[in-house]
Amino acid sequence: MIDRIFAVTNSIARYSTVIAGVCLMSIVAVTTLNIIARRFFMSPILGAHEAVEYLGALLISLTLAYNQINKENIRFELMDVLFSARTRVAMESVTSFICAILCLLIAWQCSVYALGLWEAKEVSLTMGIPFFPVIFVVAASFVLLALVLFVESMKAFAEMRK
Amino acid sequence: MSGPIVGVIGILLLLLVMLTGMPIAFVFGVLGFLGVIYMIGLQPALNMLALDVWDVFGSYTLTVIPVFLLMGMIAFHSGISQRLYYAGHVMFGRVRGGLAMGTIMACAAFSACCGSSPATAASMGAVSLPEMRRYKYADSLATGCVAAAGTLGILIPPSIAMVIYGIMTENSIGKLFIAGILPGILLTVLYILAVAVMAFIKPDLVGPPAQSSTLKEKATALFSGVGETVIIFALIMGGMFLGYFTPTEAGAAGAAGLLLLAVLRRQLSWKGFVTAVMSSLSSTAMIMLIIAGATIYGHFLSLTQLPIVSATWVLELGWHPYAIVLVILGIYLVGGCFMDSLALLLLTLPIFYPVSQHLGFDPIWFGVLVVVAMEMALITPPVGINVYVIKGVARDVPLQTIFKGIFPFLIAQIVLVLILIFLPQTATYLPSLMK
Repeated sequence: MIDRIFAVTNSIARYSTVIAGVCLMSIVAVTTLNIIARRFFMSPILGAHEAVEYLGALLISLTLAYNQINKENIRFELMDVLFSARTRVAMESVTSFICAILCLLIAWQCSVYALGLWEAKEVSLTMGIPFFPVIFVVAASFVLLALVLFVESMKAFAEMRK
Repeated sequence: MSGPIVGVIGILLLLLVMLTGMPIAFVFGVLGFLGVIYMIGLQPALNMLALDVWDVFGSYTLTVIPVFLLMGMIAFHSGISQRLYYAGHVMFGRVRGGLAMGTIMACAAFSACCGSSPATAASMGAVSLPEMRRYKYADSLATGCVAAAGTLGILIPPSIAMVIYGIMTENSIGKLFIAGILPGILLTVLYILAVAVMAFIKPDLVGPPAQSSTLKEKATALFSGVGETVIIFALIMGGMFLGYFTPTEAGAAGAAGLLLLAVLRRQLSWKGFVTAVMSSLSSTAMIMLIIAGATIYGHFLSLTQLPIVSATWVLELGWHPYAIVLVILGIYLVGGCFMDSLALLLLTLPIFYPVSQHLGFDPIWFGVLVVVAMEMALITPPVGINVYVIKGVARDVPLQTIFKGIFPFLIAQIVLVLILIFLPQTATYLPSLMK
């Protein structure tokens, strides 16, 4: 079961990162074109600022799970020297579980926030694009991150019991 | 229990929980969330979670981070570091200790494209260390000089550390970037002087001079090695200085410019491009998650009123302002020995920044000083990340040898701090000219 969840989260995280990469290159393209349009044609691209904000939020959230899978989030590494292997695994199991709960809380609150904005029909100033879909993506990304952390916690727990 | 006491307990708990190996972003987030629950209750704490995360993830200002990271990664994967090193080698190779000097110059030039110190150290280390070892440079000098010169990455603009300082303290990122130019050049000169002094005192630390180059070779190396870096640096810094670009626009223009040059010159493979994008995404998500966690934690600290109380307390001590600055720098130096410099910055800024403002210091000057302190933290044992990066490149060199080699460059950094304290215009003059 855990291995199946791991395979699915891994696969979703990989595809999410490809979309995140497209978002990053889109930020570069939109911003550069906006500079050219503004300086040389005296006509900035309408809504470029908002598009960059949205793309930025997407690129960060869509990379979260990939980063956790690849252990890219920095941590204090002195524990590797201070504690035994068994203690480290036990601590990893507990801390990953706590992190997963925090991520689920963030996902829940982001969904509540997005629903509120949806009901209030809040849109961006220039382009009139609604905020809520992007915030829903952020919420979904935190659910994915929580799953990755939960799997890590279970794996560490299983290793500790060996 | 009074608010400030809760704040102090919160900081102690933070340091304790970090020891468990929990990722720093989550340590900030979990303890900040629990702290806010303790101070004002569960519902406000839950509401704050979504707002803080969205404020960070959806911030236009923070999009400066991925674009500058991408620019640095493209520079790395398109071989700019090799060309810069070659230029430094050809220009300085004949001087005693010239390869180390050339490496420092190349690091400074690479820093003009890359805002990350570990990335600067890694890319220049991979190119320069084999060459310096081939010319019989002592391992301590060779590794120490690259590790230290790599720290220029966060002082010479663009700088990720300055972006984070600017956002956390609501100061102009553009002004901070421009403020880093003169201290960055000064530190480069001080590093070169450190090499010259070492070569004079202990001639066996440096190998024989490299082969001499003709004037044509020098001109070619300089043009092909430094030309594109100068153009990109002039574009992004000039644009910001003259008020044409926002920092995000400067980063995007720089990344697009470098990408275009790399494609036209056939210096970037598809694999290199994908790796550059993936590395930028990874670092961005890692930094942003820490900032989001630190924002939650910062709200907890604000609720405890610890920043205001500590600022008032420091003023009541009646010490000379510069003595307080030296204490703050000392805390960064010691703290940097045990904690990642980014986490240290995010943890301490909510306390130290109000103190610096109560003392009447220029916020841009204080920002440059903090970044120099972070540079020291990057090379001091046992957590100096640049040292570990260099250890990764030169696996057979013991860590203590690298730390030994760092020492003269640490003195150069201390000299820069003293210059900044006694001549603050070094950091404030250029920003004062900005439009």
